[in-house]
Amino acid sequence: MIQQLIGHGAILLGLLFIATGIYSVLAYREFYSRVVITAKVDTVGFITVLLGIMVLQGFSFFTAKVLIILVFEMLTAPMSTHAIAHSAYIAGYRVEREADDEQH
Amino acid sequence: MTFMGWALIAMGVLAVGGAVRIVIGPTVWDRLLGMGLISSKIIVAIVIFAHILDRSFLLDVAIIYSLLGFISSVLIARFIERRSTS
Repeated sequence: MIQQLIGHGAILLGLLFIATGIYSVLAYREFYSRVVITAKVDTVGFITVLLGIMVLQGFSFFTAKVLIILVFEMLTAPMSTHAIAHSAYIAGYRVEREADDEQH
Repeated sequence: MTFMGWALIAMGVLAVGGAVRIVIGPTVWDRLLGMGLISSKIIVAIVIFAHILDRSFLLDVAIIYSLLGFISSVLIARFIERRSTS
């Protein structure tokens, strides 16, 4: 019973995080703040949902595979958002001075 | 609908939210960001779906999709960086 409660609660919490991430990605006007939000809030929501599912499944091969996905995504999500922000910065996309003039 | 059914529907709606970012994104990097968003939503949806069906082979799909999503977003980011400075 407790396992069900914790699992469903974690999934609900993770969905809330992901919803917050999506809302702030759409609501923010400036690109670089969107990248930070995506890297942080979205990944935390992802991790929470997967932890909830792991709790629901108990000890099995299923949980081991979900753990693999979790660890891999935790490693690569920051990397991919870093690559995006880095490429935007190198390509000369500056936001502070002209809001939307320097788009390429 | 069960709780997991609603979770799947919620992931679908959130993925559409990511797609909206792709459509309205002013710069090309926003679109790339939206793609990363959508791929992580789809991975969570696959994991929830695998949990519903209680089949563990579906998770291999999620692993491979996560790999491809990561590699493609990094490569596209590198490609865009070179192309736009020329």
